[in-house]
Amino acid sequence: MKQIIDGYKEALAGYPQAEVGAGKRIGYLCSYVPQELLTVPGLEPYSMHAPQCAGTDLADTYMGRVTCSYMRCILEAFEEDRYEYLDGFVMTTGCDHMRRLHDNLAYLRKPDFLKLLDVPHKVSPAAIDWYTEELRRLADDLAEAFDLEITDALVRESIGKWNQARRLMVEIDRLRRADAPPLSGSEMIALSAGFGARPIEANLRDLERLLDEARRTTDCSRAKARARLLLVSSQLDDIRYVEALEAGGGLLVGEIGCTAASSFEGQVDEQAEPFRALARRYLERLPCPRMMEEHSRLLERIVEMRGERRADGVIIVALKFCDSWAWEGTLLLRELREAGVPVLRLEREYFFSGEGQVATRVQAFLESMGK
Amino acid sequence: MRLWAGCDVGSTTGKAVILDESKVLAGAIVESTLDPEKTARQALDRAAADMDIAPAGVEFVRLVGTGYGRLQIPFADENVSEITCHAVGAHHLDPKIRTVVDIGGQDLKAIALNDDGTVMEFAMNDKCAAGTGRFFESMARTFQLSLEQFSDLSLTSTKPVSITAQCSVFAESEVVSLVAQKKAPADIAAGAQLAVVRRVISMARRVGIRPDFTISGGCAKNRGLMQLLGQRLKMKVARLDFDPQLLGALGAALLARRKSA
Amino acid sequence: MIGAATRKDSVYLRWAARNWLRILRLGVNPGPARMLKIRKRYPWVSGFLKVNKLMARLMGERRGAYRQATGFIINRLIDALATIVRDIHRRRDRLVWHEDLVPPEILHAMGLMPFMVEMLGIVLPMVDTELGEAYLDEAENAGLPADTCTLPRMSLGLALRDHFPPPLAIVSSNSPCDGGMSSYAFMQKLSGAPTYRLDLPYRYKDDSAVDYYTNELVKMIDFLEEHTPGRLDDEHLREICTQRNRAMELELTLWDMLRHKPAPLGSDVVFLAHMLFFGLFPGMPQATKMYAGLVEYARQSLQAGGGIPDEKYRVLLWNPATLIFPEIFSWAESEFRATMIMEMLTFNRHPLIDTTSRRSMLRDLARIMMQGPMSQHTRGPVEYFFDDLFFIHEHYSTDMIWMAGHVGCKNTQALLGMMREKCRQKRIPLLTIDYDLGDSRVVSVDGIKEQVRMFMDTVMR
Repeated sequence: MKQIIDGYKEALAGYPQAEVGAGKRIGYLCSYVPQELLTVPGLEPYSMHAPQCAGTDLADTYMGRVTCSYMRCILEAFEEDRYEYLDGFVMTTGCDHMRRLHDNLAYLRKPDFLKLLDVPHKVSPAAIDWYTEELRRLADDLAEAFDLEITDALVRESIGKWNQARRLMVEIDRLRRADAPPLSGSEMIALSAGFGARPIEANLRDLERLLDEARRTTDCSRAKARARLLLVSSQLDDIRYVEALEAGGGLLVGEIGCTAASSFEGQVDEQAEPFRALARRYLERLPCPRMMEEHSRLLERIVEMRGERRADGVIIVALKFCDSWAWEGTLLLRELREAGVPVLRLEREYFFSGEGQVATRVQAFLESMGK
Repeated sequence: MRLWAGCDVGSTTGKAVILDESKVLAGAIVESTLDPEKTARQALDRAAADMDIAPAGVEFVRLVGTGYGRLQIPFADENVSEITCHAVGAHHLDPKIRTVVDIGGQDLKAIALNDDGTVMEFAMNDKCAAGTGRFFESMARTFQLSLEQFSDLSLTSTKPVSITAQCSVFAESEVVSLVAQKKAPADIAAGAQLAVVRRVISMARRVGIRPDFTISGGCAKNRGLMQLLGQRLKMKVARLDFDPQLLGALGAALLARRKSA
Repeated sequence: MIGAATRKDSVYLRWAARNWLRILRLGVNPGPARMLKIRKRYPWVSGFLKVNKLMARLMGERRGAYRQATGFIINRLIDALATIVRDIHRRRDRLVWHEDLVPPEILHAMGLMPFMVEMLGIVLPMVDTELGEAYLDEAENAGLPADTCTLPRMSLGLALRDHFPPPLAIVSSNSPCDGGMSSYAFMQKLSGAPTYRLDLPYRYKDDSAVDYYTNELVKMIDFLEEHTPGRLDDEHLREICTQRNRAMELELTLWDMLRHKPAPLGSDVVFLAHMLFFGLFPGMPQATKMYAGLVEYARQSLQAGGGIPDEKYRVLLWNPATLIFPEIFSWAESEFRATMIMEMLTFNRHPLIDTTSRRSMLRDLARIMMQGPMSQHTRGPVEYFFDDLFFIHEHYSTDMIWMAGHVGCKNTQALLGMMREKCRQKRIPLLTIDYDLGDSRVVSVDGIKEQVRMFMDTVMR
């Protein structure tokens, strides 16, 4: 099991390398991009991250210093040619910061294939129609740019694989309801965040094995965790950060966020027209705060998961300068506290620093819960 | 003998330059006092002393004040921003200069020049000590070395350690923890230099980096910094044939002379 | 707040008296007892008493028709705010909150009383910075990070202190930015009112996007008819749209006159007028009268040789004007003979509304909203931002661009690098002012002046 997890950590720790014989690799940002469309024959999706980011001087020149550090690290990595082995890029109108990353990229790098999906901010029949059209357009653009055939049948096949992957991920995650979860938070996040950086076939194979081993494990060490914690976060792929959260003896037993296992919840309807089915699933699943009307759903899921996982407290972590999470986090903080749930709220930057500071805060939180 | 002078009163040092019709006669640097007027006088007196003229005997046709304390020099005929003065000084010394970055004691400025030496664009960071002389002082202090020894130490490094803290106050504690991790002092020193180099380049980019490129201010005397900068910039850093710390005062003196030649 | 900066001449005194009269009329309608209750319930009403000081700061050293126009526009602002205060209680059974990018034409046509949530966040920093900052602190105390934009932040502070009139319903949108959009979940929670949100697509100039947004408006009307006594009257909507068209034609006439060198007037007169028109009384006779008045002042001003007869510099302002320093241009006029000719929030290419049918009216209103202030540049492809910027610069023959670099506006902060390079390529001098829109404790008024002076003395030398 450890070996598999290490494989995921490794994927997160590096940049895409040259691969012989692989299809065209399309880098994407944002969990609203249907990876299925990027997994048709001839294409492979690559979820973008920027490990080893030591500073964003060049990106700051263009994007300023009060913007999302994740976006700035990505821009910096672009300027360092770290994505030279990716053949195209798909982003969304997820947030102001991502849109401006797109704009700065188009200006500075002019990638051959760079698309911005217009994701509605609401979930409604009209919004689903809109997004269905956007996805069809993306498929057409991909087909044209890379000389491929993207038929409904091929998309359905791809959906099948991803549904399977999602089932596996959710199953593994559910095992953490137990008194002695078979994985820690940092291990689970390595899987959920690292998933997108590895080919789907490898993922399906490894998750299958891991699920099997996890079910059979006799490791009870985590039953003695000082406290069980639920993590609610924005984009988070930094394993060292999660390790710092768990360093004081608290154990993450569940995570909600776009790079967490929660983003694997919800299947795509394999019977329906595939583009519409994708649009529906991606809009209707657990929301990102950038959705305008979905706050109560997010709150409900947090409360529900807290119950399911018997978490003592909730930690909300967001990237500094994110407006969507600034507001969402503040409202959640208030409502969770009103409901008597102990909450710790943290801010982080994409590049890891201040390990001691994180650990101190979590420790103080545990102590405040009497743990 | 007709004389003109420029006084650059900064928060750390006060500088003065004296000119006659054709050349620079003297320049001086003193430590700033709390009183800008006093600092300016001290700098002028020191410069005059270098010329073997008794201070009392010196009279200027015109004197221009610049720098942080320029508004409090009552005997100046005019005060001009240090941006303009640095531009004028640099252009006079080398008309090919198009980008100047002044690494001051407490601030960092980048200036883009037009072909005629006027200022096209500028950017300043005077809100924090990152990338300024203050940062070096605190680094050298942490190492318990003089600034020159610190610079020499950094030159022996082959693998600078990355210092990620944006704020120089936090950088100090980061250095302390790097020392505790037994990283080579030379590599840490080089890392600190590198942190400043990145700040400098970042500031310069805001106004557009065009050759020829030069650095002014006391930190230009830091060989380790200059070497790293040249490497990172992939551009030659022009060396002005003048004390880089006196560039502002020179520009002020030139402006004084221009106005009343 | 800096003190009054104008001489108390007959122009000032006449307008000051008119302003006072308008405020005192509130003592008749809704009457003294009600006014005291309103004043107690909504402490920000006391900001009204400071309006003459704002007028003084804006009048500065202006003369002639420009000075008159300044008094006139402040008087229009007072009238608009006083009307709201008057109706806050009287029409509380029809009161609906709307976000600044959801203008109130339809709400008016439905017989509802629109209350713009962001209005206070805009007006308070101009007239009573300290009170505004108290609300900012309130929001921060509730846990809202200090890097969020001060405009929605101030709204949250007001809502937390229950200083907003209670709404029957709320309408907002995803414009102009993440911050504005995201604040409404909180506002909804605090008010308990049902909320409808309009969703603006990205490529909003495309026909498909206009269709989409028009349908959003149709659904908004259904929503309001369900949750409020409001009913959409097509005739009333037609009247409003016709009036709006009339006012807009006058506004376009005024803008044409601004192309003249020297300009007849500019800055706060121009942008306050548009703000009032777009956000508070579009389609009302007040708007038409206001622009008719301004066109007349502009004509007089041109005849007399221009607003600032020795106009030396013409400035294009980008990003919302510095609310904490609204007299920035009055100051710049005196100090540098620099007039602000046009700015980002005012300039638009709104269509004249086709009043043939409900659908055609809604469609054109949709297009107007989609190109609303800030939103037209912060949403959508980046070309929309730069194309307008350079078009306006050419069209109005401005000499430089002042970018009011509000630190809380992440959207535009992330474009500053590109902006610098493009201006550099076109050899357009660009001043970027670092400051915060609504919080003078981040960068003070003096700090702003220093930045402007440094630029004017160095680059425009």
